[in-house]
Amino acid sequence: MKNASLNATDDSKATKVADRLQQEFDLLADRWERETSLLSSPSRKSEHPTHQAIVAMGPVVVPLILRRMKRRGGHWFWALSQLTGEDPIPKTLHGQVPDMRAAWLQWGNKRGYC
Amino acid sequence: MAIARRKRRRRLKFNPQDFPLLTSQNHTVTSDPVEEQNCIGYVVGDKIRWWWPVPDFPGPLPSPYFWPLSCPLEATVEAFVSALGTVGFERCPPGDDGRLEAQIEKLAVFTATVSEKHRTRKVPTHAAIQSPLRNDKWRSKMGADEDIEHDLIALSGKLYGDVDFFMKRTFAAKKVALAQLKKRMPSH
Repeated sequence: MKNASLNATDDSKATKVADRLQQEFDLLADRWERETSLLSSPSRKSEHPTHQAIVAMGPVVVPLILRRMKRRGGHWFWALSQLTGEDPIPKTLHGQVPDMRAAWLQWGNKRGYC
Repeated sequence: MAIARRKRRRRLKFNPQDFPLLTSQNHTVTSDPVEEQNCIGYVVGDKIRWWWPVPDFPGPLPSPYFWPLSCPLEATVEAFVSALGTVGFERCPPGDDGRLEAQIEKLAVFTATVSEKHRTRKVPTHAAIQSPLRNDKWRSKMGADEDIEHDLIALSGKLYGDVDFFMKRTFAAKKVALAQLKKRMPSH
């Protein structure tokens, strides 16, 4: 009985942490997209303080990025590569944003992230 | 991968501090927002690729954005002149004010000045293409957002800097370039 109660408390704490992480990510991501959507340069997009704050949150945000990208699109390629060190986009698809996104989502699917 | 499209707006959503000269009177939205192409893809006529040189992509990984293999992978005026040259554009002589000419397509390249250590340099930020029918109007793809038709001066400001130079190509050169684009130029 006591163990069941402890487990429930742990689950509740984990849920709260996950919710807080999601909220923090959503706030930063909304602001980043709003303030950089008119830029063409991926370098300038990535230099934005909100993008740097998202990357500083660490690999824990990779599933959040992938889920957001699946729902809403966006240029998350820099952050994903920086956080994972991976490059799932074949050279033949360079510049083709929907296909680049699909390559990352496929990468995420294989790992159970999205 | 189906992404929910946003509805077309009549006016661009922007921060007035970024574009102090852009008003509801000097621009009109002419498309829905699409992420397939950016301003460079738009002016060269490439409907499916995001063109930009990204030399500083994280770590040893190659940039996933398109940039012609034959051009320097650097955000410099020279690299942009070279890349736009691959699709038939050549730099207009100094003094060209970007006025409409028959059978000629012109684009305007914006640059911003950045400070680096002991020097400053111009970094390309945006390109707009001349409206084919109206001498005083230009068209721009605004990052990942909409296309707009606008006065050229209207996009000067903090985000894009100012118009630095013009480039032009003949309609015949455009036809050849569009055929080349279909064959898929190799990228960095």
